[in-house]
Amino acid sequence: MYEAEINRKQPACLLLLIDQSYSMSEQWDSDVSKGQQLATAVNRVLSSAVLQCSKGDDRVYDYFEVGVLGYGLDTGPVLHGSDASRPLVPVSEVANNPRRVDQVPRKIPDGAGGLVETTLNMPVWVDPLTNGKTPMVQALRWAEQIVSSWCGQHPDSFPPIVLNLTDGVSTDGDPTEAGKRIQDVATNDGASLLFNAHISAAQGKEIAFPANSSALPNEHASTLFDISSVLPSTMAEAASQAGYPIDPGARGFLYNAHATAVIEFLDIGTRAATPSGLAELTTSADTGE
Amino acid sequence: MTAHLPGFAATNRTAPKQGRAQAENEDSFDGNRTSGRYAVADGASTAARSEVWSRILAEAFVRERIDPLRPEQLADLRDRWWKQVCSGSLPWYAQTKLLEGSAATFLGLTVTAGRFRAVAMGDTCLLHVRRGALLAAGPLERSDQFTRTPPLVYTHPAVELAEEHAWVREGEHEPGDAFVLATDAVAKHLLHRHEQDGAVPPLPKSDDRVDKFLTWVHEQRAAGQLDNDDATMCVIRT
Repeated sequence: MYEAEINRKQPACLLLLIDQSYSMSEQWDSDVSKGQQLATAVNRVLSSAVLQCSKGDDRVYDYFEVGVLGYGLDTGPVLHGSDASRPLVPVSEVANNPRRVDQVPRKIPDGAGGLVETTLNMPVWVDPLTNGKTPMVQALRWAEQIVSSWCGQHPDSFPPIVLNLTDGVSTDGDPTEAGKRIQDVATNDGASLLFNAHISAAQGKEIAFPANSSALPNEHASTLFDISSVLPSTMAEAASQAGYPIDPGARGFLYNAHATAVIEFLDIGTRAATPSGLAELTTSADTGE
Repeated sequence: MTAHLPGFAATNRTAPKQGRAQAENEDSFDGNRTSGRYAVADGASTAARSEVWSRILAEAFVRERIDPLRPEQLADLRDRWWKQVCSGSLPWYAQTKLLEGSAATFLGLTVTAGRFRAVAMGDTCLLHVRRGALLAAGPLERSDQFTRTPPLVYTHPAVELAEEHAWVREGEHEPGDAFVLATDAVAKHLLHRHEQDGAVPPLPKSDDRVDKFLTWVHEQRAAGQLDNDDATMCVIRT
């Protein structure tokens, strides 16, 4: 299980659910709003996904299909080219349709021990949007429909990866059933993976990749834990290599997460969606594929 | 009086990953029987324009007698890669990907009358075969030594050449010996077969049809005996 090779005939599915409720306008780390930090993290993940499929010229191989569902005042797909009838788009479309590409000055090594200033491309697909409540159940139900349809069309692919990023409590009911239903959808390579990251501006203790709910502070955290999938072994290995203590049965779940942890969480949770699947989780310059 | 150096013909066969076109093959081979220089390089599949980098490495070794594993010569090759891949206007993702650079494994072999010298970085391997028996192999000697993180030759000027991983071997050969230059999937397979059977499987001959190798690759992959990677095997018979 969770070993299917990812290639153009057998792509993977990556679906991000982004909380866009009003509370996301609160400050998070570094005097930046949670919505802005989250948008930055999501844009970074999408950029990384595109680069993994880029060969360094105008080719982008469609190794996976990507969707981003925002939920707040409105709930729906937010990527350019996606809509309710087409919530997932091939990664090549993602590559060619950012809202804009910002230019950011950065210093990089010059190879002679010094630094040279250059300009880096920072594509933007998602801008912060903070309005309305937190209809998490609606978003999860929509996600279940999307992955269910996708699995029917891709029975031999690596199972869909659904990443839910939120700062609050669902305002449209208990998300447990909707979350479980996503995890019930499967390809021949395993059940869909639902990972949840709860972000917080509070000073509460950050909990990352727990294997049980004993240390969780409240019912809301336990609910999200219950609908978070156990990390496949190679993802657990990647999390361990990133410095997180990982016990057997560790789940793809963050609670009271700060910005750095969310970025690492997204990285670990999406690295399966690389051209050759889990085998390349631990390297970015491998000769195999 | 200069001794006459006999030429040694190379039989090169290559196949892309299953489901890919030959144009997407990131392995490169070059050889010249007059100079007795042969090279195989395997471009890292996740890196930028690695088919260009592997070709630059192989051709420079064979055609210009450049050793990519010497830092002072590598710098010029890195410049060539950058100039070749940065032509024209490129989309944002290509620009960003190119900044990350490229990488490849490399194996170069020089064969003269009675002697050979090989240099390598990574898991593209040389097998020295005599009458069907394996005399020596390197840089990797066993099938269980292959990993997903072999040492590589990088284009990025900030990444120093890992000279501690450079592999050099010199020795003698006899008429009828065969040298096999093989990228990792094939090298691993040949070493595994040798470990299992005590012999190296039959090697491609110059008059074999190319289709024969492609069929062999397909069969071995289907049987789970060959990793789904670009597969290159170059045989030089002395």
